[in-house]
This record gives sequence, C-alpha cells and structure tokens, in this order.
Amino acid sequence: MNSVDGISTGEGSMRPSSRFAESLLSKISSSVLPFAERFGFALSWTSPGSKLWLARHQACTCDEEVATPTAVSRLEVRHDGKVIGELMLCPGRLAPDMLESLLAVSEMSIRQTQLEFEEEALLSELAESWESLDTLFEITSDLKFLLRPGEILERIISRAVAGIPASRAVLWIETGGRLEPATSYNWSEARARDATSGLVGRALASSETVALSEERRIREIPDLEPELRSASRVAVAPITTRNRLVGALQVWDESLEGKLDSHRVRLIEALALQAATVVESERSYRTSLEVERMRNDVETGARIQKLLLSARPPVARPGLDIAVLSVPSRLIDGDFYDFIEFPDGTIDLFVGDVMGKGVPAALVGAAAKGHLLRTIAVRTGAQKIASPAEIVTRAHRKMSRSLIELESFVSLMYCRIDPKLRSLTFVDCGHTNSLHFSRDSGALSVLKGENLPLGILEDEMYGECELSCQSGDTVIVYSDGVTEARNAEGEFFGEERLGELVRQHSSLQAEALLERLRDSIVSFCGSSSFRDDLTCVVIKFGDAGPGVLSRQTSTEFVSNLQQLAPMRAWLRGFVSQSGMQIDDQVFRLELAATEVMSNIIRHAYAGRAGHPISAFASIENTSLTLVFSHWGQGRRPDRAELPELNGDRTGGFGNYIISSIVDDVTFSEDADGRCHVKLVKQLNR
Amino acid sequence: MPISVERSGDVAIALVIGEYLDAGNAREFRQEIASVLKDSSKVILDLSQLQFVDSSGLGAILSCLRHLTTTGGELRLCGMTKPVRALFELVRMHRVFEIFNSREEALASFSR
Repeated sequence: MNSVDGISTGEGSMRPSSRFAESLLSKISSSVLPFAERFGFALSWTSPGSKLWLARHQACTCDEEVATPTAVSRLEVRHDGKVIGELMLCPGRLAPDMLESLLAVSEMSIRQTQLEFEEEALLSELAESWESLDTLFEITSDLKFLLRPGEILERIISRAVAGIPASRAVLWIETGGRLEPATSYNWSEARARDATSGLVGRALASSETVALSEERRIREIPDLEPELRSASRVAVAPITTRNRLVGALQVWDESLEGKLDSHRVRLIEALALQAATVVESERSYRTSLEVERMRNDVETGARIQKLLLSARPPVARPGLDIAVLSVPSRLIDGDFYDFIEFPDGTIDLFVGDVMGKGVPAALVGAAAKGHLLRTIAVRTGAQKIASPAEIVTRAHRKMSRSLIELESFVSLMYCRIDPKLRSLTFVDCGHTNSLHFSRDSGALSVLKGENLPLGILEDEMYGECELSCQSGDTVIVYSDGVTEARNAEGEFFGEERLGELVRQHSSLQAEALLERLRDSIVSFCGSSSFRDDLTCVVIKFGDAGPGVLSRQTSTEFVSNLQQLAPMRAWLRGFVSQSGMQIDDQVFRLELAATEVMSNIIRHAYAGRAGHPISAFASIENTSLTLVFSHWGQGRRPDRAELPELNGDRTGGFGNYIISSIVDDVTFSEDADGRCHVKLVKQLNR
Repeated sequence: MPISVERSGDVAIALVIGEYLDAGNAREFRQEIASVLKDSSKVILDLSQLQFVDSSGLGAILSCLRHLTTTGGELRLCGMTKPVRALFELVRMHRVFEIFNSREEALASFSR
C-alpha cells in the first residue's frame, strides 16, 4: 500500500522554504504524484534543514540515504544561481521507461517554475527601471532650463539619494589632486581630502563605479573613509569628462540593506555623467569669464547694459500672439526693443537699430530706448494716450541734438497694436521693411513709412500709417541683422527668403515660426553666431477678441490640491459649451491641465495653500489654449523632492504626460514676476 | 477616499470608491490601501469607479505593485474605465501591471 502525502501534510511537516519551492512542488504534485499511487514509488523534496515526503511506498528504504544510493534519482533545483533543494525519486517498482518519463516531467516542472520567476523578476525590474527613467527624464528636462550649475548639482545629488536609495551623499570635484566637496546631502562634515585613498580613491583609480551593499565588504577596504565605517551600502561613481577625472559622486546609507543591482549602478553612472556635463560647462564658463574680465572693462560694462536693450514680450491674450527672437551678435551692437502694455489692451512695441557697432552704439541704443519710454510714460495718463507719431516726434526732439553731435542715427519701427480692431498703427523711421502676410489672400506685403531715421534732421516731424489686419494675419518687424545675415559665399539671407519662410509657415504659432526662422538663418550662415544682432518680432492676430462671446473663459482657483477636481469640472464645462464633444481628447486635456496645476501648487508655490492661480481657456477655430497664471516660483523645473525612503515619490511622469498630450507648452514670466504656463492643443471636432 | 475590501479565499479585492485618484487624494489612498497590502499578499484593485487618474494616482498604484512584489505578493487591476486605461497606455504602464476586465477574470488568474 502506498500512501500519498500531499505537500501540506508531508512527513517531517516542514513547509517548503521559499515561494519558488512552493510553486515547484505545486506543479510536481499535479503532474507526477498522481502516478505514485498506481506505480508505487517515493518522491521527496530535500532543502537545507528539511525533508518533505511527497509520496512513499512501504518498500522504500531511501530514508537511509546510504542504503541504495544508485537506485535513487536526484534532481538538483537551482534558483537565483543557488541550489535551493533536491527532488529525490526512489523508483520502487517503477519500470525503467516509466522512470525516465517521470524524471522528464519533473525536470520540465522545474524549468517551468524557473521561467515563471525569471519573468516576474524582469517585470519587477521593469517597474523599477521606470523609476530610473523617470528620474533621468526629470534631469534632462532640468538642464534645458539653464539652472545655475550649483542648483543642478544639488538636484543630481538629491536624485541619487532617492534613486539608490540612500540617506547621505556628496559630490566631489577634483582640484589639484584633491577632492573638494561641491555639494552634499545630509552630511555636514564634508571637507577637502586626498583623491587617492579609501573607497573613493579606489573607484577613481579604476575609473569604475564601485557599489557595495554588505557592511563586511565595506569595512574590508583599506583606509576606508571615516563616514563609511558604519555604512550598510555605498556607491561611488567617478565623474569624468573626455577621459579626464573631474570628481566623484558618493552615495551611502547606514541602515538600508539589499543588493545594489545593475540598474541602480547604471542610474548612479548616468547621474555622474550628468554631473560631468555640468562641471565641464561650469569650468569653461568660469574660464571664459576670467578671460572676459581681462578684456576692456568698458566692454564688460556695456554687456550689462545690453541686457537693458532687450525685453520680454507680452503674454498670451485672446486674439493676439506675440513672440520675439533676439540673438545678440558676437560683438556689441545697437539693436534695442521693448513692449508696453496699456490698461485698455493696446500694446505698443518698438524695434530700433543704431548705426555703427561696439560700445558707443549700444549706449546710444540704451539712451534712445530710455527717451522713448520716458516720453510714453509722460504722455500716458492724460485723457488719451498720445499717438505713436506724437511719441516718436517728442522723443526725437529730446535726442536729436545729441545724436547729431555724436554723428549717429537710429532707425526705428514703432507700432501700436489694437487687438480688438486688429489694427496696427506704425511709425517707420528708415527701418528695415516690415512684412504683413494676409492669410485669406495669401499676399505678402511690405510695411514702409516715409520718415527719416532719428538723428538726421533736428526738428523732424514724424508721421504714422495704419494697417488693418484680419484674423490669421501675421506681421513681422525685424532688424537688418536678419536680412543681412551672410553665408560663406557672401550672399544675403534677404527679404525674399524671409517672406517665403513666413508664407510657408503662416499657420504656426509665433514662437514656432521664430524657431523655424532661427534654424533657417543658422543653416544658411553655417553658424549660430552672427556679426549683427538679430531681432525679430512676430505678431499674429487671432479670432477670439473680447467682442466675440462664448469661446473664452477665465476663473480663479486657489493653491490647494483639492481644487484639481473643480478645475477639471470647469474645463469640461467650457469645452462642452463650446460645442466640442466630451470624449477621449477632453480627458487628455483634463490630465494635462491637472499635471500643470498640480506642479504649480506643489512646486511653484511649494505646497503653500491659499495662493491664487488664474485659469484662462479659449478656443479659436479648433485650437484650444489654456493658460495657468501664478505668482509663485517661475518655471524652474520642479525642486527635487525630498526622498522618502518608503518610495513615496512623484516624478517626471507629470512632465512627460504634459508634453505627450498637448502640442505646445510655453513658460513665461512677465516683468512683474507673474508666471504663465500656456498649453495649446489642436482639437478634432 | 474610502476603499471597500472583500475577500475571496486568500485574495483581497479592494474597490476604490470615488470618481478620481489625483494629487489631491493620492496620499489618502496610500494610507487606506496600506492595511490591505499588509494583510494580504494577493490583491485585486478594482478601479471601476474611477473616471480619472493622474500621475500622482499612478504613482500610488505603482507603489502598491512595488510593495507586493517585494513581499512576494501579487497585484491585479480590474475594471479600468477608458480614460484610466488611456493614461496607463500613455506612460506604457499597461504592460507592467496585470490588468483584467472584470473581478472574476482577475480572480481566476490567481488559481493558475
């Protein structure tokens, strides 16, 4: 008589020591055990410290392992590179061919279980890799936004600590054979030290990342750094650029356990690479600054003044899209421009160009801008804002004598835009021709005035012209740096090429059109630095103006995460009232909007409750624009989260989601520090 | 953010009660689900009531998966509505989780 013992009531009543064993034995019991009763053989599972009988027969003597060793078949079972146990089959009265079959079936069960666990491990690694990718995506987005190097290094180190995970870290920079701490996390004893000793020295010498997760092995390192003496895990990645050692990224913890597997190592190596980029560019920046300082002081002063020559364009508003491209030349130049937004919604803009180059031209430019702004300020506040012609004439009166004495003159294009009427009133003073592209007729026309540049005739009276535009029209005001950009053969970029480009890309948003223009000029010239300043302003007129009902709305929210759901309801309401279907694309918009507002609350306002967030939505034809405005920290990318060791992190998923869903995201800050996040999405009806 | 839990054998079926899981209630969700994850190693998250999930909600669900995987447990998701499914596909998480249409199918997958 045989007795078949199931897994859970096996003799010795020891349960299988691991999940793997459990899974394997479950398969064995359904595939092999049913035969045990019929054929009379014994099957047991031996693992360190226990033996479990799955099936036995009376004649079985294999308890005494020595007794009939040759009769027993043993199958070693490996998992995770170790032998975790042995299946023993004592054949009893089994015929040889039956024995073969049962052994084959057992081996298959073992193999199947191994495959299942491999798959599980891979999926788990995939999920964890997501976290690493997530981290890397965040960092890549960071660098785009030109944080100060010190801030980027701090963020790198925070991510290293979150990603490993660990509780302390330090980023070393090599200087003259020693390591100086550039930034540290949760460790205040960082001091300059020798670069050749200890664990860090070892990593640097071998140019390879060292990752240890056993206290014993860490303590074995000769000259171990004092702070690592009680470490339970440590990872050190050398930071190198162009095969030159630049520093090291050291991350450690005193209580966390667990192997640091290959993707953790890859993560820290990737972070070290990012740090290398930052350090390298910081070094070159510092070097070039030093070289600069050795040059003419006046030129340096003029560079600062140059910043006063440029300005930020006004932000999104219904019916008007304005963007500016401003590329300073290698040497100082005299281009200047500015925007003035009046309370009634009109916008003045002027673009000017001083004859000549160098510091004198820049100073004249700054002075001219100053005179214009002062004149506008004085003339505003009366019952009516002065006309463009009056402003230019009065400003010129103040400057003309000085300009003549300096033998300098200034070309100027002064425009006043009325978004409601879609009109442009301009005073062109010898400036490069502006262009007007009409969407309806496809015609490209030139805007040209009759005035002389400033500084030619002392008492000149300036006259204005008016242009009426339609929705979809584009106006471009630019300086001669654009059309006079030269290629290697000495050919000019020219008005025609510019016009063609505008015609070709007339449906693009202003910012996008400028990007194309910049790319086009760079590729035409074969270089991204120019002899003259490039200044170009694109003005696009759109549909929705305040006179048009129903297609725009705005509302106020407060910086509280509970407001996310009401915001979504507001957005849904607006979209449905505009006649669009509520469907997948609305959900995606809600998602993008949620991520944006969530970022503003958690990061721009750093979680502080009760601060205002304005939301504006407009639909123009099939294009939806959403603008969230706030007074918080401007678009610096999210401050690195404090790593919480329970794995509670939110990450770059949000940014990825936003950029995948909408067609365009822009971040801007106006002169008063009010920040705007603008999302644009083409909808399908 | 209440979660109602039913048991079927050794499987815990947690129904998330609410229309959305976003940055506003993701923390609450994590706290509520923690006890379920502690008690059971086989968990089904029934998401049929959710019409909206954002990246914070996704992160919270991901942390359930991580917790269970580390402790040798298993997680299944069921009842995803279209918008939620769209999010998972957007970030390609639909391959990382075991997703089923119904509770029954999710349950059946455990007794493989």
